[in-house]
Amino acid sequence: MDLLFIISGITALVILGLGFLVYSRNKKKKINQYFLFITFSVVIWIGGVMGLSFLHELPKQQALILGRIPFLGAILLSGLLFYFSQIFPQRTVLVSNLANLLAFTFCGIFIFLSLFTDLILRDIIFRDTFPIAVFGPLISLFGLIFLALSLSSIAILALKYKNLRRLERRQIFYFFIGLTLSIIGGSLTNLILPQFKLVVHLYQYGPLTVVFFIIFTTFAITRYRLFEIRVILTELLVGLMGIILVILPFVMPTSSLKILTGAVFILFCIFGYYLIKATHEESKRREEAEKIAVQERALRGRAEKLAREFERLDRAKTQFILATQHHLRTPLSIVKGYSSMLLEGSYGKLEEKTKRVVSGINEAIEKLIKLVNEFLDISQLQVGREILKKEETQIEKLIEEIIEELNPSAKEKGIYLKLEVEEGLPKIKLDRTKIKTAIFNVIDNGIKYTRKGGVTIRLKIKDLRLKIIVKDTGIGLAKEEIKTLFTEFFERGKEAEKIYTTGRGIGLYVAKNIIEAHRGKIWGESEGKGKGSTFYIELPLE
Amino acid sequence: MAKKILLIEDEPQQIEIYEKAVKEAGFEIESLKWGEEGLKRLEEIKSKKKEKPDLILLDLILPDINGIAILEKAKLDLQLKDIPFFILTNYSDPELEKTGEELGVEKHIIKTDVTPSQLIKIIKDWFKKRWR
Repeated sequence: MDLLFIISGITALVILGLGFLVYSRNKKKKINQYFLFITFSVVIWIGGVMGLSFLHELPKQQALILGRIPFLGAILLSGLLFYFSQIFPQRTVLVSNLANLLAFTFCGIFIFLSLFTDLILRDIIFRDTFPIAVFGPLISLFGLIFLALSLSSIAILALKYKNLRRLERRQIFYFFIGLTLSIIGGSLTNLILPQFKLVVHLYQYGPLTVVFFIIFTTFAITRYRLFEIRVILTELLVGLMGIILVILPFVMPTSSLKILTGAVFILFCIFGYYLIKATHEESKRREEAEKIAVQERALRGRAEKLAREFERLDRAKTQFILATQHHLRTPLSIVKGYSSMLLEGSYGKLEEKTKRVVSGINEAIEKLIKLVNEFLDISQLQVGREILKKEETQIEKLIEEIIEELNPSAKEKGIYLKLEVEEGLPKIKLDRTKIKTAIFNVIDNGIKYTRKGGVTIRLKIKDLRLKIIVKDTGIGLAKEEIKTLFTEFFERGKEAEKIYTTGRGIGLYVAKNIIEAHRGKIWGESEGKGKGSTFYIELPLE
Repeated sequence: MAKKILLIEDEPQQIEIYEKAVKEAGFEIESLKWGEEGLKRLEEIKSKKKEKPDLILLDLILPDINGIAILEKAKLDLQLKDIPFFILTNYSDPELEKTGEELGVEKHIIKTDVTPSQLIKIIKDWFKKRWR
């Protein structure tokens, strides 16, 4: 009996300690506050049950009042649990306000009834020193309400279960198991079995059933971070165990046992130190990881926003160019109209000198028109517009036309322009005007950057693809240049600037856009500076 | 008899250039500067108040309405749909071009692509082909 008494006392202290620990972790949190209240009610119940053992020493009236305390603890506990189950781990509405009001009203009524009337506990008689309850008429209703509230709490937790995150499920699962076992045990020992008056001292074992609740809740705290007090609880458990182990050697009867328990204590200290350290580190790591995750989410959000904004601006720019194409071209078509008519004598015969000037205007305006057209093409291709007007084209004819147009500038520089064609090239479906622009730009580029020698164009079919190879004997390309050759912002090297200072720099970019719109490929190769360059264009035959 | 060409175009200098070139080529030309004028003209042609032109050169971007509206009105009208249209514009939009094609436009010409004399050649060739 003494041992049972001590264990009951320890149980009460432990659960009270647990309650305060949870409460001190976050005093403002409702869950933590109510967990503390629950531990109070459990302690009231355990204290009341422990007090039953002394009732026989007291006068009848006092004994009756003390004997009613366990009933107070029990009904308080069931009411608190009913509320706690609703807010733990989060409040999700499952119980109507009316049901809550009803439940708490009943609780209040029965607290009053059990303490101040004979309706629940009418009398206490003693067999030896063991008290035996003589129940009042409402004891069945009391039991019913206690069980109804307790079982509802369990049911509410069970209903919440499926909507919870994984970690919370684990927390709630162990909390649930501990609670259920304790309630079943407590009800059996102190409420149900006493009705049959079979074993008179069974009530004493009631407080022990709370141990289930303590063990499972502690497990949920340390293993699944319930109430977030795992670090401190681990420290406390290690500390408690250490105190017990440090006392043991002194109370052991033989010296060999003293040494053994001493060694166990030292081992435990080492083990405990690392356990606490590991718990600390893990908790710190987790906090850092959470912090990093939050930062990362924020950064990613910002990056996505910027990317979207950039895309929007890029699109707006392109749309702007498309929308203003009419305005860009109108003055050009007017200048082109006037100058061509001037040259053709519509406004009277021109002197030779004037004719040369107007021709100059004409040439410049044609270049400008070509440039505007290329800009527009790129803009349309970039917004994903299908602007290709494909037709069956004899490719060598197209290239002959280009050579004819470019021959004057090649001759002027004193370099050659050669075309080598494989026999029997098939017709190929493509946008004649745009492909012409692309190939023109590549050959034109070759001429620009060649001082001596010339440019050779070769046409051949390989693997169902048309290959156009434009090889020059010009200034060649450095490795870094090859990479940026086809980008919008290609800046020509120093050498290129010396040879051709007024180049536009976007010709190859235009070519690339057009070739790729035809599902083709374009790239450049060079053995290095001064060794000429070769450009390859590949187009599918379809 | 000289062919009659109707030009619907808002840019005065452009009008001057095309009128001069067309006249020199021996055609008759009349220019309308507003889209609404074009629509009104179609009505007048329908009620036989005005003569049917042999060709309409139509700009798409007009100060008041989109040239396509004029084209639609003509091509969806049984009495007017045989009037041939050339779109003569500086606005190149593949979708607009497709719309024009579907409505039965004869040619779609970008102004900066051709000189006035090249345009005349295109018109002459087209007339020749049509009346052969």
